[in-house]
Amino acid sequence: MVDTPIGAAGPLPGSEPDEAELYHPHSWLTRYVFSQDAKVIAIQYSGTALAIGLVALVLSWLIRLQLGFPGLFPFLGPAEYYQIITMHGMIMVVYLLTAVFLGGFGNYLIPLMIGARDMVFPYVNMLSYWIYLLAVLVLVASFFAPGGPTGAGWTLYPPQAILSGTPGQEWGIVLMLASLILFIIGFTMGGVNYVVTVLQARAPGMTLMRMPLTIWGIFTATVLALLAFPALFVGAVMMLLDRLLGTSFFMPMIIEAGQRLHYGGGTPILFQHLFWFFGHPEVYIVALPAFGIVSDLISTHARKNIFGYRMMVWAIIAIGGLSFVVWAHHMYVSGMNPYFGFFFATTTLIIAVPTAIKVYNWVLTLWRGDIHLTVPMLFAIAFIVTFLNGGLTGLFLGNVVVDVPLSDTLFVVAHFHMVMGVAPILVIFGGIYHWYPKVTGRMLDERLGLLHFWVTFLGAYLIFFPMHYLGLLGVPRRYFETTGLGFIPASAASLNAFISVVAFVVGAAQVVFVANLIRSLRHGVPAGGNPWHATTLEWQTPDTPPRHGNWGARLPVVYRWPYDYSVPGAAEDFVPQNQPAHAAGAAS
Amino acid sequence: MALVLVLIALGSIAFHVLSPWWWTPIASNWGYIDTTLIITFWITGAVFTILVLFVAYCVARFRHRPGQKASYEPESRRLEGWLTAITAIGVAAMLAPGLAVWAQFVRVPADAAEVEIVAQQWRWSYRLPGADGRLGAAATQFVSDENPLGLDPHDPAGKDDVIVDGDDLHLPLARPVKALLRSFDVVHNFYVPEFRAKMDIIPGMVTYFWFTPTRTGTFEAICNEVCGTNHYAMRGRVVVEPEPQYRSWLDQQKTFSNFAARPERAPRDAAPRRVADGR
Amino acid sequence: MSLVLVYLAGLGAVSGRWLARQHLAAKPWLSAGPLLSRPAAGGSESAARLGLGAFLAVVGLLFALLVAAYGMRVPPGSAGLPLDPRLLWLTTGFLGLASLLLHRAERAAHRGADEDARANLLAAAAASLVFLGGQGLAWRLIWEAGAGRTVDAAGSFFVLITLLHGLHLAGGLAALARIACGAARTGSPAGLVRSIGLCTLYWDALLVIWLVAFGILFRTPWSGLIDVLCRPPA
Repeated sequence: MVDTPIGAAGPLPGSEPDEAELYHPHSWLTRYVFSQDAKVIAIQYSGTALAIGLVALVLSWLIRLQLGFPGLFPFLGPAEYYQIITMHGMIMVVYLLTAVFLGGFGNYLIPLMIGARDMVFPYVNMLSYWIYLLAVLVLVASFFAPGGPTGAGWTLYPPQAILSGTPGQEWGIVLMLASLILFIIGFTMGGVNYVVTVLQARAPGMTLMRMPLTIWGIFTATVLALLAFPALFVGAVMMLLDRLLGTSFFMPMIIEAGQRLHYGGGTPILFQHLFWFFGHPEVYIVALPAFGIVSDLISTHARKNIFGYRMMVWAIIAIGGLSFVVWAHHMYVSGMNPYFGFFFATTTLIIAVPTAIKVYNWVLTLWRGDIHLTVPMLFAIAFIVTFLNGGLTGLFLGNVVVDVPLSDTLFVVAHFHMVMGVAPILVIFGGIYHWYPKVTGRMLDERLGLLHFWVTFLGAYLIFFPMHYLGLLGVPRRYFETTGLGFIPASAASLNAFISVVAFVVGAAQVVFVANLIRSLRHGVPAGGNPWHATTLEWQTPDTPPRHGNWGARLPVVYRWPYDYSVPGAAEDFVPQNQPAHAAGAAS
Repeated sequence: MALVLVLIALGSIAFHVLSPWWWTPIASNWGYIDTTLIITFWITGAVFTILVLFVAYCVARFRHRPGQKASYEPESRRLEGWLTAITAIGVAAMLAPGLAVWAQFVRVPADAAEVEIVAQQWRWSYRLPGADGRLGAAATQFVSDENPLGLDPHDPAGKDDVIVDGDDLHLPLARPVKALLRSFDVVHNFYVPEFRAKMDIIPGMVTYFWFTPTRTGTFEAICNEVCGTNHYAMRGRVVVEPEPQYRSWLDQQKTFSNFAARPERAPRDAAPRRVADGR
Repeated sequence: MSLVLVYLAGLGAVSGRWLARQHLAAKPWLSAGPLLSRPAAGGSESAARLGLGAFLAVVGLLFALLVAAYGMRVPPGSAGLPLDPRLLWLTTGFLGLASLLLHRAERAAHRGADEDARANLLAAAAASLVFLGGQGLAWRLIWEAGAGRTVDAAGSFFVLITLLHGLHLAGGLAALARIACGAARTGSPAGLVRSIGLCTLYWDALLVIWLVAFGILFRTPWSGLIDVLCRPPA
């Protein structure tokens, strides 16, 4: 690991494509379907995730129908309602957000941004996608199983998850757990791949401190995911055995509807520990790639280097490390030893410090920038606002005693939708508007993009900001209806109706987005190789869209960090990472 | 964009001030929780407003114009150091009162009267100590039609326990209460918004929390952990009244020994039980 | 969960040591110019080893979580499993033997003694199969004795842990079979050394994992140490 000037080291290793190592597709089927090219796999991942995400969007409409206009829709009963909220939550958190950020953006951007030809283990990468697809199909199958999907809430707490008082107890929960187990197996294959690729396949000159923050975010999130998902895996397997073989890992002695069941001795809290040991890092598995991507979007479109790059990297690492010692802040009122509350409240609020530093640095990057309000930039700024809002309400819920009245109310729902729903999804949109030209060679339509942006951003804010106040009032979450509760004033119902209407509009705006994606494939303005004048390697490929192997005959050589925007004395306001020092004029 | 950001910041404040949706009037000693919440609101509200307005200013002031060039400043240790320090102070200002109040929350006063709240799908029952002032032992394995709360029939301390099955819970005003929580089937949560405090109820173990009712009245209790199809319909009521009224109510209640002697009681299935017949 | 936290702290220490050597305090904007930050040697061999290492770290965490769950779920001093532990000492011996034979195969392949390497590989595979058979027998005995669904869940954990461990070993055997077949076909000694090296690492890791699991499921000389790590402080 010695830094050696290039001339002294002779020819650079790996600069010729290694024919034996590189996989070559031979037919249409291996090129587009069973492809081992990370870029194709990325599109497959994103497409599948967006498809299942649309299902979750429709489910959220159904939720809002019931909450906004209770009693108006006879096809929505309590059992259906609980099934819908469960599937909405699970799909959004695991099958959409995790899959898009790591499987989609990760697969596409890691090799291109670090200057690799492909992932290190392309075959394993392909398997990872197909197992993910299988997991999604098993999940979808539960909609059609007898008894329907599980209605246990996305947290799947036992004992209720596998008892007959909860809908979907026969098949739904079994398919749900099987699907999660498959997802984790598939993800582990992909995750090992991403980590090893970042560690081993970087282009010459790409030191860790020259990696774009996008890669830092995705890399750290992948490490977190590799270490967090085993806990969910263990919990899911144990619950599956409880359900199918009659073991009692989580099942105490239970009298259900007057019948004593054959279970005994188990501890439901054990599952909660396992679930949240996964569940909290999961928040950062989604947030860290979003942090990274948004840093690059802001820097590129403000034509300014990201402020405090080193602090940003350290903050990502610190957040990643800390995220493993905060899990029980989801369990303050779970009946665990209350003295744990002191420890977990402290760690949780400490994690706010590196997170706040990241927000400051984004904002300070805008300061004295040259801000181009492109669609990706708008999404990035909207992310700052929503993430800030959601992050600050996290300080309420993390502070153990304030959490007591607020937990399991709509305040929590509003908080996590803002911070890990709206904010990361805004980044996904921003990222898609930003990288679509690289993926397809054409720009997305800007007017449709603006329409999509304004409706989504303002709508989402209007949905979730007022919802906090309903939670403050004490309106519980996961209630099929709140009629008859005297402490909830009638005006809350009109607010709910308003939120529902906005939600329908926001949902409809996503149709505009999908239409834009499809339409611009054919009719988009040709983009050229580097439409945003960005510095990072993926914009310097010889072909757009990049061909298989990414770099043509020679791997790029990296000469500088990824944020050389508006360098004093440089001819242009950006200097690509692979531009040698002498070519950049007087640049440092 | 800048204008919209200003509107968001000011609109959020206006909504906060004007919103008709605010917490329920408190009816317990946990006013400290509200105070901590208000401190948190002030700090986070200030941070939110400042940062959003700053972003709005940047977007307006540094928006691209022909010939404009961004400045080049990789980092400023001093500025970042200050911001980190200020953030740490702000966080500490929220955490310190939070932990202080939590210390009270976990320490139950010695003179707190024990009340047992028993949850099952989807109804509430209660048990109060009888003349001996303590609750007898209980366990899920003793539950039967004659013994709906599963009291240990061999524990003499349980004979005089008062059992409230299918009725409201009454509590005396201004006396600390330690609520012991038990469940036979799944995880529930006992929540009275006006009391602020709540706790999950885990089958197989006894959880607890404490509070002191400070206001008379009838309050709604709800289940606050999704517990099955009729989770939303699992409701109860708590009546807080002055000591004399409470005494006279208590004297009318049935104890465990005369409960067990009378097998015919109100039907257990007061709450809707299953999806099929619930709808 | 202290075992899990200790495990994570160990991983954190390893990655922290590695990160410390990555010049994270460097100011990248000051040092434009080509830097050869990658060791010139490397390539796919170290990538495969690193990949396997990362995978094993994940597998290790999986079993650490299971052992920690055991500590939280099974009451201390619960009655032992209705199974003669000598059966498991025997299977443990076979797994250790398989690991040893793989080491010998690796050394043989390194020397270029292909015949020797192949014989050791076959023997290792056979020993692993005996281990799996023994574990399966124990599994059946426990289940048929009705100990798989008891209130203290010790038998349930035995069933679960041996099942997952066995599946991992079966996956390893499939890889071993592929390697053996490939080696027989191409006879490329360099590739063989590399693949056997990976198998050896995998078997060693599974042996360690099994020893830890064995230690918590049964009374072994090292059980006390594991109890200290995974029981919540009384």
